[in-house]
Amino acid sequence: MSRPGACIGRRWLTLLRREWWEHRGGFLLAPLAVLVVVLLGATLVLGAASSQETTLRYETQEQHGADTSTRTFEWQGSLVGLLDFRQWSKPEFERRAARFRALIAQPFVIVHFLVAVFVLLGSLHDDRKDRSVLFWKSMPVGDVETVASKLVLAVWVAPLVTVTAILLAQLGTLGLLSVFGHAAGAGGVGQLWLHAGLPAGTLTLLTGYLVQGLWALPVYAWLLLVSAAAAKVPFVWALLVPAGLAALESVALGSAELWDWLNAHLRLAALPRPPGSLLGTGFGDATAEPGVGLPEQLALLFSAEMASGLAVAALLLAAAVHFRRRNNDL
Amino acid sequence: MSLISARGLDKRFGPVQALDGFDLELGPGSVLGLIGPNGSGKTTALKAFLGLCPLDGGEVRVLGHDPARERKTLMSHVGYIADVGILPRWMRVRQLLDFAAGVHPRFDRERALAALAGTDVRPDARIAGLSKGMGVQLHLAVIAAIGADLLVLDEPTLGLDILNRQRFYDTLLGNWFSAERGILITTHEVREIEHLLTHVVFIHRGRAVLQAAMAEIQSRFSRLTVTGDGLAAARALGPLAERSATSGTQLIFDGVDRESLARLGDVAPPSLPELFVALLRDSEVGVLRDSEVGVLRDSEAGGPGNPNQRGSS
Repeated sequence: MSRPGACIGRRWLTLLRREWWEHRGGFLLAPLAVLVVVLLGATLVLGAASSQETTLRYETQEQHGADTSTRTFEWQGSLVGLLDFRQWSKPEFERRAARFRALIAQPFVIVHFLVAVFVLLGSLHDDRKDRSVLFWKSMPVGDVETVASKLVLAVWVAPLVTVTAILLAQLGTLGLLSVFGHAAGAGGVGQLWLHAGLPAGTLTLLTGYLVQGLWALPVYAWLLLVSAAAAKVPFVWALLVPAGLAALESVALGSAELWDWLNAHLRLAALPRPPGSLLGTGFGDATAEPGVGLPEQLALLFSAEMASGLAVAALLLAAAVHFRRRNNDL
Repeated sequence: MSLISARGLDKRFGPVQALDGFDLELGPGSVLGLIGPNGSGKTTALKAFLGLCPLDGGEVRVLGHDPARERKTLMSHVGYIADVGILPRWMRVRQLLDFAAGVHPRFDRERALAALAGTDVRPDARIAGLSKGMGVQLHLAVIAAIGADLLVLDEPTLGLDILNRQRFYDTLLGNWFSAERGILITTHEVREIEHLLTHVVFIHRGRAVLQAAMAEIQSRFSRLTVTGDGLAAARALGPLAERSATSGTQLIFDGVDRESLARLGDVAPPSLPELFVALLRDSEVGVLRDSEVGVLRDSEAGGPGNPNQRGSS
């Protein structure tokens, strides 16, 4: 009995599920592990900060003629208990909330990027190593579909899990702060939930991942190309070739165009970052407003650099498909 | 319509001419054995038929398609099993079936599950945990559920024990084969599949040395075993090859009338390995290297294949 041809939606769902099954460890368990670490860390820090009694002493010296009198103010309590959210102005609250969201998101964003790099590097290489490529190619799935499904899962589907984990971590941390704050007698804990900006922050993250996927597409496409072409150690090739070319440019032309270009595209340019983050400072002053908002993302999306990056990515992806078609073993 | 039609295939890997004007025809209802020593071009030919190896020259049509350009379409109608387990080891059996059902327009999940019901393969098992025999059973179940028109098997039973090898061929012929379908198979265990084959192609150094129906081979070629006086007379009839055996001297003849041979000694049809060696000695293609003869003698003796031997490329 043969059934009518599987429709394209079901086909793509299957291709993406197949990628998901293979890389569930990286794309699901890794963010879950980060979530656990973040929540545990927050519990420990908040626990310590709300249990240790601290004395805040504030002294002022006042001059009255020849007399100098010293006035001392003292508060006693825990660090958390001394917080009073009612005294924060709205702009200040929003700035701090943005910093908080970016700080929580940062480890997830980094872990996701690292997982995506290693998944993509292995995606067209590992099945040649264990020869299961012969099985995949014995199925009616084109090489373009194969390469595209690996890219789409790593760059646009798996981030949904990461964003969900980030949201859970932010909610969890806020919850912990509320509980510990309330217990320690901090003021205006309810204000936290009012001004944390989680819906808007999550939306920015989601759109950020969409734009980021496109912005970093030359990087992802390069990883797929190396994965499809390299006979062994794709990781080394992926690093050595661009580094070698950049070094060559530096020696031959004395310029660093390639290096700058690579740097720019490796940067998580469209994702919110805490100030002074390790991963670059693409937009504005790092010490000022943290993160990246929708306007910056839109500007990036419609920039000339984005268009040229996509053109490079298209060439690299075409080469990846070519090698995928040709190479069936190592 | 031919299931496979290949004319003058050429493929070169650096200094090695893997295929050198190779021809092959496979019609419906045929089980064709592609037989040759390691490095003779068997696997290269199979890969060319599946669109996995771009050719330098020649023309190949498989089920009317150009495999190099239309692999995706072609693979809706072709099943392929290779020498070592090629099923993805990280997958679970159920996931494999889900995947095939999702991308293969002809895949029938129920049929695959029915085929697996008679085996020890559990749907929740991880493929890495299956024995080699179970892995082959699973692959056969997938192929049966595809309802492929053509099956390409590259040393499918290598590394299987004798029980599983037998089961493999029984399942294949019992559950899958029919008059519209065709099988192309390479194996070192020539003796084991000899009785299954309807056609045979001998390949050596990338060329088809002989392409014939088994019935033709049995009527055309003879093996004469003679002792003592008959030998000189037998040699006068122009044998393709001769060799000493415990029962006397064995000579292989092409197109010599059986009755005249029977007067000289025992006449029987030659086995495929015997015929291959005889033809190679006689052909212009060249003399077999010792190692190549060794491979054929192993299979002739019905000994177990060396599990380390991979399909030639």
